[in-house]
Amino acid sequence: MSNPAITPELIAKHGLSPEEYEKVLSILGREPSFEELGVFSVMWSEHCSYKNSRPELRKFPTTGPSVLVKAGEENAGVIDIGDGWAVAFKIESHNHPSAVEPFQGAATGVGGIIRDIFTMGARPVFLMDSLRFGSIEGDSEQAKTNRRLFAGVVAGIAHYGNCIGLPTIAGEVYFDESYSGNPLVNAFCLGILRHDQIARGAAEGIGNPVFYVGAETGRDGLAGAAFASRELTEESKADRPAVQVGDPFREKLLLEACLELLATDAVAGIQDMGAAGLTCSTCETASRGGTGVEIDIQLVPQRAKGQTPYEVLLSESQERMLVIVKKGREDVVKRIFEKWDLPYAEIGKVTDDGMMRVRKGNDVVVNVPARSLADDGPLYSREAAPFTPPAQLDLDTVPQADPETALPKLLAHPSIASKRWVWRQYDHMVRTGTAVLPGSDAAVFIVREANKILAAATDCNAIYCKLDPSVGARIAVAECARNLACSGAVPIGVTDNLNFGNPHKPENFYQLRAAVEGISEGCRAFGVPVTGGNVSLYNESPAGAIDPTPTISMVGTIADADHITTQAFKEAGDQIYLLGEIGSELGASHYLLAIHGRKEGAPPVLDFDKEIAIHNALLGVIRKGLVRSAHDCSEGGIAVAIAESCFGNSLGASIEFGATNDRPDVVLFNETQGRIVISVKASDAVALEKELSATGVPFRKIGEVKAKAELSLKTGTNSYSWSVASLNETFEESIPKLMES
Amino acid sequence: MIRIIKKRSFFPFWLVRFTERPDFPYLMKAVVTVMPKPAILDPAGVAAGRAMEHLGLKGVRSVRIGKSIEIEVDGADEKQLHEIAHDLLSNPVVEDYKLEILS
Amino acid sequence: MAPIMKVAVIQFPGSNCDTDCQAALLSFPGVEAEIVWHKETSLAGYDAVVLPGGFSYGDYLRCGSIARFSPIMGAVRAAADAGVLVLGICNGFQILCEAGLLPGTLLRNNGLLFRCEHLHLRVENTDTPFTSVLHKGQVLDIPIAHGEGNYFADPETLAQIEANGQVLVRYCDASGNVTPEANPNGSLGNIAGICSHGRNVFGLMPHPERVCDPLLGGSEGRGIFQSMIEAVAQAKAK
Repeated sequence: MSNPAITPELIAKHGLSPEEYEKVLSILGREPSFEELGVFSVMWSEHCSYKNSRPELRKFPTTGPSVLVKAGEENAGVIDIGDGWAVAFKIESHNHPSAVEPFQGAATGVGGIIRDIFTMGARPVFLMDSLRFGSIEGDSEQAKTNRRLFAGVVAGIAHYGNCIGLPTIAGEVYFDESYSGNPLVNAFCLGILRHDQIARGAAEGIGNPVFYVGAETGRDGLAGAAFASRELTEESKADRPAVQVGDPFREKLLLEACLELLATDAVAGIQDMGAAGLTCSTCETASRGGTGVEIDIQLVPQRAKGQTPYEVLLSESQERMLVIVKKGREDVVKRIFEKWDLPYAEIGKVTDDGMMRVRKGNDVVVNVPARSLADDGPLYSREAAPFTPPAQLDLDTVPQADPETALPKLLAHPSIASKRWVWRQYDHMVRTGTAVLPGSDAAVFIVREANKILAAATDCNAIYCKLDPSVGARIAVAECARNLACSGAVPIGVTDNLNFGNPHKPENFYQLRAAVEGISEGCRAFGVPVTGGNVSLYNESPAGAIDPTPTISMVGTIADADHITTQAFKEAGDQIYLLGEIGSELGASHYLLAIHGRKEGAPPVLDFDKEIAIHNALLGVIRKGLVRSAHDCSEGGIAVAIAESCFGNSLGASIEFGATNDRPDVVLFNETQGRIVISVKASDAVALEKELSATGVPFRKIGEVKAKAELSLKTGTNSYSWSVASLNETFEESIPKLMES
Repeated sequence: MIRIIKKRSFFPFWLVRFTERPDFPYLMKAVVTVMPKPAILDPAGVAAGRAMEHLGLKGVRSVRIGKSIEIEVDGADEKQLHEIAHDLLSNPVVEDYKLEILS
Repeated sequence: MAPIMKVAVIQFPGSNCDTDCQAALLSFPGVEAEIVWHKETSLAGYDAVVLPGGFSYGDYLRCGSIARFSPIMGAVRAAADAGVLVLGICNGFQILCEAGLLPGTLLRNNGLLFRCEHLHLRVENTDTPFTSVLHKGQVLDIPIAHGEGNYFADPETLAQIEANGQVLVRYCDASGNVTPEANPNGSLGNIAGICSHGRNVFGLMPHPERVCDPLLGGSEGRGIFQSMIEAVAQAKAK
């Protein structure tokens, strides 16, 4: 069995440009072996090296007094939460695999992000996800495909998360034509650890043994690989699965075994095998340690026969870790991995020559400087197209829709409608920490062992991002922070998943750059670092690129259990207040999209100072025990926000906005930023007004919670009313009806 | 990998000709066996295999778990059944199917 | 000082709710709860055994089908025979059925989807060590989280269970009415949990350990554990 010769066609098939290949030649001082070609091609791919986006990502603020491990250092960032405890969290995408096989694509996406967390030494405690699909309404072939993708992705996440025993406690699901054919699956995981438990992925200690632990290696993920060393017959094609299958049970064992192993002092370094599998973990650990790593491919546990070194090195089989063990402590690995019934093998050692060296028995098939592979990949500054911000929406071109019918229609829009169909399939209570179940603004999780209360939210309004990426990205950060404030939490860190189209197209690259700059501005304004994240490019089909979608996930802490706040109105007689302005910006709104079929207009203005002042004012009155519910205004405007607040406890509300020159649909459905609807006990109203007046933020009383489950909204001289039960049914039944058809 | 096994009917042919009028429905029995593709990881099979070893069965090389779907249908043709097996009963991305017509 | 109840929480490969059960038990003063690895073969010294929820062996093949052969199950059976309290929650219930320590089996939810939500249970029989502090007809708010919770037994077995008062909790609505709408998975007779003929083995699909803390959705699961504590105390007093 001999390898193919290195030809320009082979190099091109590996995705390396002629210039990149020249760089390989100059690094090695010779032609690469076939295996080395494969190794460079995968390490220098966009997916692994971020070569098209790294220069932009450097703009993120990543430092701060609470940052213990910063973005880019390790697999996930780590933030201090006090009393010697810390959290490790990150979000990652698995978009393209989910388009091919939604169940396994989503499942393995969840598996991958969980490994990134426990490889840091943290025990994973909860998950979130941000999902996007094309429209699921109607009977077109595309709609049917979108429904199948949606069902498959949710089932895959449920399968993996439930089996491994991690609650999925929050998320978002959006439906928009731009995602047809390009679903987005972004999975977030957070883990908890003590400062002294932080584990690093560096190959430290010359002579230390290198262990492979976890599932056996197969040919997973190699369908996309350019070549193997034998002919691609029909038979061999069948040997190369197009999709990886996740085994959450194996990962549960791996998680427990690794945490048990890390609790001993036998580990010098640990790294999960994710994208680019064994190759990536080997060269990255060597690079971080400033050392070299030598492994023998024949010692790697394998589940398929006759795999070549190329195949083993590039395989993306799941549920595997690389562990650098302190010399003399090999028996600890044996004991623990035999207890948990997992494959393990000593496959190599740490050297002092800075090389990633792979042997097949006595033959050396790869001998490359680790740093060149891991850190010195090519970097590109792509061209960004000049951008003209969209014009303000001309209201005269928007016929006024009757709010009586518009509100139910908005509540039925799958992007706004209840996602219960989704989260009822997730075990969101395992680990007994979920204090606020899905369905409120932010999830709240109590970490028993640390006695800490965490809150988390994930947001991105891609309509805003499409129309003005810079504004949309800033709003994504602000909206996350607003959701955290509504739950009583203060933000501590951000992780981002940048989902964009082909970066070679200047208009797409502009979107990436503008989004990064917008996120950076937002994080600086809120004083939170970006701890890490993920970039997913080339999300496009012949129909075009997806709307730019920089998904933001933000984590916060709540000082006291008494501060935990949820969005549902609590009791009749409570007074309802609006923090912020009534607003009038209808541009880029869901009302415009869902009712008038238009995606246009400048997105609402975001003023960080005003936004932060409102969040702080809310947190202030929450801490004084004055707030019974808090819900922010976002898609669908204040009418949707108030309706949603009625649903939780089947209460009604009577709201009056006062005299105005604005049309009713403008008042009820505008998406002006920095607005939060709160309710307080009638007896606390005076105290609340006193506290809020002292902060200087705009606020006004707008109404009262009613026992009779009817929602009535009055703006100017126009009055509208709806049965809450009827609105709730529309809200709850929208997605189940579409999915059961 | 698709294999079709057509069992020879022991029904007397003259009777078949007599009853084979276009509008006379015949009952077709078929079995579709769906298995994970050979190179695909089968976590359930792996777990079952290890359990067998713990129960004393030595030398277990491979265990793969699939499902068997028994169909009785009036008057479908084989081509239709293949389509159903491919589009509905199996996930061609990760599974292969075998269609066996019993009668 | 000796604990008033010493509990073994069995940990199988793939158990997820083991530490949740332990934490819930430890919230009762005087209770000791230890995680016991499935390869152990003795349960000597324990007043009660809990088989927690999760996905033992990934739920592969059939839920609980592989865990029932774990080494610890010999000791669990011996404990059950000796009258020790054995509580199986969710996957634990499935393991007890596969092991034959409880009759019947749990099939896939009739709606085919995994369901996690709060719902209501009606207490049917309080003449057991698991339900003695509750009262007959009491409605409890206890969550479920399962994909295979559809209780099935053949007609003879079902008739026996019902006649013997072995059904301890049924799915019901908020007012305590046992209706088809209140049944989340298709279980025969809306059965959510049953006990053995000898009353000391109890299996239920809902998760009482998830409602032992008002901050985490309620305390209505505490009654089951409290009943166990009292039963153990009474037995020791004898």
